[in-house]
Amino acid sequence: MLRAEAVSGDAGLVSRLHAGGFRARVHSVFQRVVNLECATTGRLYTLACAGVDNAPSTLVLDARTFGNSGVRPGARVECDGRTLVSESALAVSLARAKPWVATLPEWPSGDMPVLWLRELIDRCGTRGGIKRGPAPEPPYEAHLTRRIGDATSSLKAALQAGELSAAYEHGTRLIGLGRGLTPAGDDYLVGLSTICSVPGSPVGRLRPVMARLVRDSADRTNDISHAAMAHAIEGRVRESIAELVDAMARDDDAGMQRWGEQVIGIGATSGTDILAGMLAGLELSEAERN
Amino acid sequence: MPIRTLVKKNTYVDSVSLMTVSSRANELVGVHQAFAAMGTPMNKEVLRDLSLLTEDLEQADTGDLMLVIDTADAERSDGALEELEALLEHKRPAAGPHEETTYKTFSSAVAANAEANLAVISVNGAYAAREARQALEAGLHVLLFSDNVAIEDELALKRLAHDKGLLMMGPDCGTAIINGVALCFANAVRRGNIALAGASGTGSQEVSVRIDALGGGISQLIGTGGRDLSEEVGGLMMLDAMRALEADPDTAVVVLVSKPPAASVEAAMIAEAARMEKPVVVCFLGRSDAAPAPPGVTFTHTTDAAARAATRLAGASGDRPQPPEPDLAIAEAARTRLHREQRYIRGLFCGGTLCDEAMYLALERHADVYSNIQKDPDRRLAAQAPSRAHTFLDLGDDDFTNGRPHPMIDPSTRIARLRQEAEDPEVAVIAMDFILGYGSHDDPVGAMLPAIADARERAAARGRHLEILGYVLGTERDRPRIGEQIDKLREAGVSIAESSTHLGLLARELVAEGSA
Amino acid sequence: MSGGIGSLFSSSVNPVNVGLEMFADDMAAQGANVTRVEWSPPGGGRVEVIRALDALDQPDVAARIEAANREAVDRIVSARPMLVGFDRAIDVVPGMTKTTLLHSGPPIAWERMAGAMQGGVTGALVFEGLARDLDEAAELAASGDITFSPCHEHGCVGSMAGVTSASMFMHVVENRTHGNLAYTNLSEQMAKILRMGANDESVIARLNWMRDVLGPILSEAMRHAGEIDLRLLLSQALHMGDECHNRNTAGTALLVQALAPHILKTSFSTEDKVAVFDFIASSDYFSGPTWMVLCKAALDAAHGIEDSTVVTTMTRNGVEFGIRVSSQPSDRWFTGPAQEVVGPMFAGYKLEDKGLDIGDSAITETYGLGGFALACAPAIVPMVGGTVEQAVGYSRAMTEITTGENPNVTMPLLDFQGISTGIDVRKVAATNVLPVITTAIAHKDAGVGMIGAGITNPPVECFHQALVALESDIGSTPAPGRAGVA
Repeated sequence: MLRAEAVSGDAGLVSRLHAGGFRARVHSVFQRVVNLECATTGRLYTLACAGVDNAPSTLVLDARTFGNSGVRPGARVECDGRTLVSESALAVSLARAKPWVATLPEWPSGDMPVLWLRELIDRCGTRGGIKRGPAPEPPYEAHLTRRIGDATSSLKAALQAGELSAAYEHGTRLIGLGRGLTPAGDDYLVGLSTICSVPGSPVGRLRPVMARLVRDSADRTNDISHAAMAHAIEGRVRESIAELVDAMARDDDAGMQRWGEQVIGIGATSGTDILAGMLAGLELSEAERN
Repeated sequence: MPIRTLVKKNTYVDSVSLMTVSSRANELVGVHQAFAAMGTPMNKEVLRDLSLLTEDLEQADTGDLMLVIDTADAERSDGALEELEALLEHKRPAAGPHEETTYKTFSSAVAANAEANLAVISVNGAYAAREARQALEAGLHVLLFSDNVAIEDELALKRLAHDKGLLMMGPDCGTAIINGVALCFANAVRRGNIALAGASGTGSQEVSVRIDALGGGISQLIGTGGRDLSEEVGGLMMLDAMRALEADPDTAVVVLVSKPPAASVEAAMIAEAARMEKPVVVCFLGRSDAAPAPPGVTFTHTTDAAARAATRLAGASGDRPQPPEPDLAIAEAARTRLHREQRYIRGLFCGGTLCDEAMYLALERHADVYSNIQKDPDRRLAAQAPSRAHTFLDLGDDDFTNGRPHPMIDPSTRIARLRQEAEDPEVAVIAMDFILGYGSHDDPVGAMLPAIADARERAAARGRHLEILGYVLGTERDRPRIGEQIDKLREAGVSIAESSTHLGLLARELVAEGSA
Repeated sequence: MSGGIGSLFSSSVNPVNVGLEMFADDMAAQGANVTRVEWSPPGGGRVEVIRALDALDQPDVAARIEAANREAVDRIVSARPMLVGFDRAIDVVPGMTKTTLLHSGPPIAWERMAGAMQGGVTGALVFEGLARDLDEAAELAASGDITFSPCHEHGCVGSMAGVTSASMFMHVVENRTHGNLAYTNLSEQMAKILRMGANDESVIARLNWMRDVLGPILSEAMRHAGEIDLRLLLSQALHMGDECHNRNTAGTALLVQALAPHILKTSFSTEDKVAVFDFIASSDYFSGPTWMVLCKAALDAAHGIEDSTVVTTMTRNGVEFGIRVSSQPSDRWFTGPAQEVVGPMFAGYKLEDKGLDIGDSAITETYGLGGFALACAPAIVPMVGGTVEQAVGYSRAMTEITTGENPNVTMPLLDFQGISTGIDVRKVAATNVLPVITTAIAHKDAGVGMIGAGITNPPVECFHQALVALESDIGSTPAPGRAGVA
């Protein structure tokens, strides 16, 4: 039995929970994250342990781990407005949850630090996703890397040239492509969508095609990954990504370093793949401006 | 090329575990390749391209996990698939609403946790070798914090580890950082492309935080244990570490940190470093050999210089200018406030290597340098003996700790000694280190403040100014916060050194020339 | 071979922490998946124990031991003890004579016997007609004319004082799988009984009735029944809340259910049959000895396997605790002082009234029942003390010191894990985890009886001594190049 307090959470989710009547089932269970599938809308919500950053549709608890709680996939989840419970495994008190909202800053008048981001990925990025693993790669990995590389460069070229139908085709080939729980292709699109969604972004005009791409792809990847893409294209990203964009917009060296590393730490290669997508977005923006 | 496949319906496994499973699976005997991926249309396309898409894989849904093994022969593939599945599912005894499972032995812990890959062992030295051997035989890498382990045992363990391709860090290894996880006494440093292989715990800590301060980052910090570079052990772990780091794609520069090794061992380390393609920075404190470095190898004599060389070679600071060499001007100012008879330095250190560094720096100018870790037996002091002339004490040495906790955790020995030194009219400067990070005291500075105030008062009562120097070893990410610790020291009138090297330089600068 | 180190660099760090807790805490705080070991020096830090463990740990030796232990567990698990009859000790027990008294525990001389056992001895001598009263019996016992021998060395087990004499009726159990036989006498059902050291007229009268009515009825009933599969009843009893050492409510119901139709068929009067049923109903303990003899039959079959370090006997006589190990000779006992039993006492009794741990009933724990199966019997907790959580914890903890589990006898609460089987001397020495035993407490003086129940352990010396003996018998000198212990 895990008893915990919600420390902070997505503002929309927090007010939904406080209103009472929330019903869901446990979708998946990890060491520090539990996903819930809402019984009425089918949307995914996330409970995260301390140390995981705020994110869309996510509630951050003061617990260390879900490891020994006994929370199991398929279990019922209910909330009466004050406490969220799941069978006899989980009881989360909502009284002190601070509402959090993802805010992307305005696009700066100066330049975004494209060089710095490229260098960060080169220097610190984790291999195995967009960034190829150490040679020699086994055949499957090698093939996968090639496909991802093809799709990302074609997508980027098409977007730069304004060929939106071609971009849509190439983007479709990225979805669900990759070995992780959130495949590398999906994470790349999260990064790219983020840059497109920054208010005043030079590539804001690409949002509609990205949104259509994400909307049409629900059956081409798993729920968890799809939810992240759907949020990102609406400008809803997790805290570390939002803070990174903010630091880049203000040219805050220390902040960029700190949040850049936080983002790299996401998942196995997800963080690096997201940054790769963001880099593509920044490069497209740069080209746009010139 | 028999292919075995398995689809696990509605199975969500986090990416890190999937990666681990895939790499482990690829290492299974007889496996050409193995992988686990979600059943998305695109992943299936890739399989189709490679003619690996069987019918059951075709049926997989986006929420299903596909497991595929391609092996040398049919016999092996069944077993390999089972192992792959087992890697994914760890059978735990029904730990439901009842208490968390504790394990009484290393072997039962490992039997229940298939992904365990590193044993961190800190039991009494008498039993440590045994536990370490069990760990190695179970295929785990080892960090052996315990000391008082027989040298024959250390040799046997390191040979066993070498044969099995495993890390045998220790005995007497207090510091390591593997994949960004700080182990035992270590600091929260940035990840980057500089690797450290260190036979000195606090020396490794110091170089790592210097690198962090200069904008660089650490890929791996491998501790070898204090005796690795002795004649008998011959640098076994350091050699394996160098080879592993040479092969590590995330490492661009390697730094070796140690007190001076045995001569033959030093030669072997330098030869290996010269063979490496990656640049190597060698920091063997107190090394006196002036021979030029082979190409690709940089010799440095201080930890600060080592960190600067490494960050420069790694291109870590980018266009940013390197921070200036810390200046010694404050020493000049302070010197004027000292009486003529105040001629000596007293160093009270928690970190052995920090003590060493300050001591070697002092030895470059003065002959009458005493210590409990002095190599020269004529200048070696026992713990109970009072300080003489310039004295640098490693309070963490067995002689001082004597069954009590290490001074990094229990300040009482240093507090008592500080009082003693403050009474001595020949003392000009007292230098102290404050080590932050994992494993350290919650508030190292706070613990010493009353004693520091007391020391100044004692000196003042006798009409003396007592110069106290402090260096706080830590990063922005460590707890307690380094800024607060430094502020507290400043408020207490302590002069702040910016690195271990700076501390040593300032201390010797403060005492007049030719104070024999 | 940096391939190995390289693969650590590309996976996540999953540490096992052995030693200072603060290191584990710090690693967990960084998100690493830490496994904690609650370590203590093997053998309590004793050098000869560690040396023995190391000697037996050498790959070729260890491999032989593992194979032998698997064989031992195999035999224990595959044993099928069948109740085939009830008969007088003089007629069935090997080596029994009119002037032999068997007792529980390792060998012990009359003079050293605990009060409760001396009470049982004098009472038995009066019962057998060898002495007219208890005082004469005491003289006879000391005279040298009576042969004292452990139950265990005659294929028997006896609960508490375990005094077994010629005229007593015994369960006769045959291990169908391996062919060996085992025996034990009948429960006297009350608290003031011979096995607890009581020996007044009421005790003797009851023994007489058991000899003249109970025993013969059960004997004839079994001739009608043919045989009863005890292992089947045992696993049902565990599923119904018994641990089959101290709590035998379900087991007794199941056993009497199996015997009842056949008791009815016997030639005795209705009165006698009613008396038998009343007797059985008077105490839940009736099936206690039955499970003891089941365990004896299974464990005897596992004795005598070369290179095996599995414990085949745990037993006490109120003065000493003794164990026997499979690869050792069957008359080689490793002993240490019997321990205190900790638990609630009946009203009116004080701590100083307690006798020390006594009885062959620890054979049930040796098989995997009793303290090892506490997770099946939460209801026993008030009787032996502690909490339900602790009780379940004991069952879990015992997996650390055993070789395998018994798939035929399972514990529902622990996901139908089989009872822990094959106590390994090496594991007990290495972990410092001692087998847990639930047991009754007898008064230290003769003539009183049972005064409480609780939990106890063997003395660790037994295992250390056994380990050192095993080292010289099984272990060899260390291979060259292998460092010793610091």
